[in-house]
Amino acid sequence: MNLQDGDAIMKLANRAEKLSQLFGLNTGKVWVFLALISMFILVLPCGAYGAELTAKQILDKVEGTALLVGSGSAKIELITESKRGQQRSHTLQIYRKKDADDTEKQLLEYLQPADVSGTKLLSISKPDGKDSEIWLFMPALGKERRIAAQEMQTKFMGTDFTYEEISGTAAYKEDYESKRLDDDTFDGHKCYVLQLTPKGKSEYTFVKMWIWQDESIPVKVEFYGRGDKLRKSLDTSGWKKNTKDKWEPSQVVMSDVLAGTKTIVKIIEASETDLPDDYFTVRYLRRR
Amino acid sequence: MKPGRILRRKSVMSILICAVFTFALLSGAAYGMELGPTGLNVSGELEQTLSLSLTDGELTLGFTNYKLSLEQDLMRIGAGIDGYAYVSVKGGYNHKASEGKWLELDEAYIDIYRDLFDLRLGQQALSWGTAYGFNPTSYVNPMPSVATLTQGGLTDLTGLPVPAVYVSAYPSWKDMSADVGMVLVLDPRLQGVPLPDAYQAEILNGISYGIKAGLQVPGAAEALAEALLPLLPPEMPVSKEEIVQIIRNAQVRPTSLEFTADPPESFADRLEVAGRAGMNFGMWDLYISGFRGWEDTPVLWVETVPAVDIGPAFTYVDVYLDVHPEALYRKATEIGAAASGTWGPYTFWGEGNYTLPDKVEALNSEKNIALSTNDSNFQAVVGADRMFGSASEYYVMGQYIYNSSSSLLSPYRMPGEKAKAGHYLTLVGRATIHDDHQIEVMNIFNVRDKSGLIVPRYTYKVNPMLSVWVGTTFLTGDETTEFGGLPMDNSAFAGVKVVW
Repeated sequence: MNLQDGDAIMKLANRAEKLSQLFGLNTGKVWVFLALISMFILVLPCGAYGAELTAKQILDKVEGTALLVGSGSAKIELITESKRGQQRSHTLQIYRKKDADDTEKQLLEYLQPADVSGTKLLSISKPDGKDSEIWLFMPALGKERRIAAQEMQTKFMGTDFTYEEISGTAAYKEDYESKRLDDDTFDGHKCYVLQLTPKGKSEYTFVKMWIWQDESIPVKVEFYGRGDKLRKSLDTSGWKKNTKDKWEPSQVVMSDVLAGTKTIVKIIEASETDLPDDYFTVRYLRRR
Repeated sequence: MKPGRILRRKSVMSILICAVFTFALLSGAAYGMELGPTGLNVSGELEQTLSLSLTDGELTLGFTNYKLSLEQDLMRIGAGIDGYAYVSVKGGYNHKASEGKWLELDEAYIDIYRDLFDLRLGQQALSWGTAYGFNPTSYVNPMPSVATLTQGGLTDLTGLPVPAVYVSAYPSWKDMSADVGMVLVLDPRLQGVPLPDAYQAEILNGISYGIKAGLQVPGAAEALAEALLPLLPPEMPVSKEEIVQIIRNAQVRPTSLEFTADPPESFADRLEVAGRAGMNFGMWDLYISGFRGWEDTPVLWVETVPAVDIGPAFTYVDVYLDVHPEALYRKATEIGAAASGTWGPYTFWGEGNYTLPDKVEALNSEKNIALSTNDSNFQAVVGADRMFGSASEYYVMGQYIYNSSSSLLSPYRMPGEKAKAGHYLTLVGRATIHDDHQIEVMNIFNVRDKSGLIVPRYTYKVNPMLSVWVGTTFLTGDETTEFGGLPMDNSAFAGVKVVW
């Protein structure tokens, strides 16, 4: 998966979110995580580069590193926190595979809590975006349903993420003017700091992004709205290398400063083991 | 059982229910538990409802339902088989009707996954079809009673499990793949007569009254007298006119006030078979299917047999008309098709079946009064849904249901009643606010007689383990209509459900 796949992810995310409303799930939050995988987890290590780099060069480097090759799976805990501090937790297993023809296949399975356990969502996205297919399996009914492809939407309600955040740094490169600010340190990592100003219509006036210099990984993003007030903040923590020598955060938190809510994604385990095609079939959906 | 024992048992059950709800209220967690090194998964749910009649203000306990499930990955217990074992038990009690079962087997099966096929063996509920709630091609699992609709549940109805062997295979070639399934039902779950005892008695008394009235019609008693006279002893001193008068005053005697059908006896005779094949065409899935097996409910008819009681030395003669309620399970052959697909933001589905029942001669006999027919029938449903709102927080669904032969609620028609196709609309609207609050309205409407059932409901998810709801059930239409005539009141209800 690479960050250009944000559109495909978004399509799935939109659909999943709609379904989540229908079936009382929080599926959309999960797709947020998928995007976060793109942004933060499945990035290849890359060497440090000179402090004289321009903002655009830094963004290019970030984009170039955000590659997922082949298949992978991850088990995550996704927690939404209300303004009153009330938390809701879901545990999910996500499987992913990219075929040689760039067809994206993803299977998402709710593990907990019990009221949604066993619910599965299968999506198969063609590279041209046409004929993408989505099925939802509902264990209470014992059958799958084909799901309509919803139009792209700009906002995920029920989470603290919007389309812009989920679409990844590729969108920032194309849709934003970038300016390099003074370097900073975040969570012990020396970072480049970029100010990204949208070229077109956006709910944000600008975005600030902290990029870990040594690894070219975005580790913090702040979103500013009208009056240049901080609206939301995306923070990562607990970065460590996985068994394949790739960096992973143990936690990603999106905080809506205005609403006082948070969406927390904890990575329980992640693997890039190749997965068989059988995982991404209706047959597998129907299995226990 | 002694009253004291019943009371104690109910008290223990109440304490258990209260304990579970209290635990749920205090807990933020809702996890199916994995027990032991084999990862045995234990999960369950418990539900209690209250009902308030809007007619007489009576507040009653509604339903108590629970379900307990165990699931085991066979590989993890070293069985050397790729598959699962699953067992669930359930219990339910309708407090108002004072009926139910506190413990019964729900599903119990083993899944075996092979390269060429998947096998499910045991008591199971199959879910065929593409529509919501009403699936004409879901042949083998009978649907539960319509009472489940009264507090919602229109879109999540599932059939009752049956012992069966289900083999599914997914052959593929080039870019095409198929989905083929075969089911052998070992013992069908025949449902008996789906009419309350009191209603059956009412029908039979009505028929008896009708017969009595029919004897007063000029010519009717005379015709029966013509038939009876040759059977009387020739030496009997009675004229035709006298017999006609006796017949007009004859007593009509139902031999029973309920219909009873015996299930098929032999194992081989009970077997049912169903098959389905499906393929994917672009954004559409198409299935064709077939079934040969038993109808869930028996056919009904009433047989009228005249009886003559002759006194010693011909001192008197009485004529009676004995009304025998008869019921018989019969087999049927069904063929069907189902499709679903997407277009833009909409999901569409359609499903239909054609049923050819085996002929039961008694239903065609002019001597009998039939409540069922030998006619074939057709059922179909088409529908669509979509979501709205910036976060898809609004959902609407509409379905049209067609039933060529009879009511959705009853497979029978009253004597002399002509077949009228049923046309129904089901509508569901739902709004979800902040994930935890859900407002929904479910409606089923009989287009022909303008009656219906409307269930608005508000649900609050206290935590992932505990949800509570309140709502109302409104019946529309007068007593002569299908829904207006249901034996239930407009009511308000509340419920609480715990899942773990």
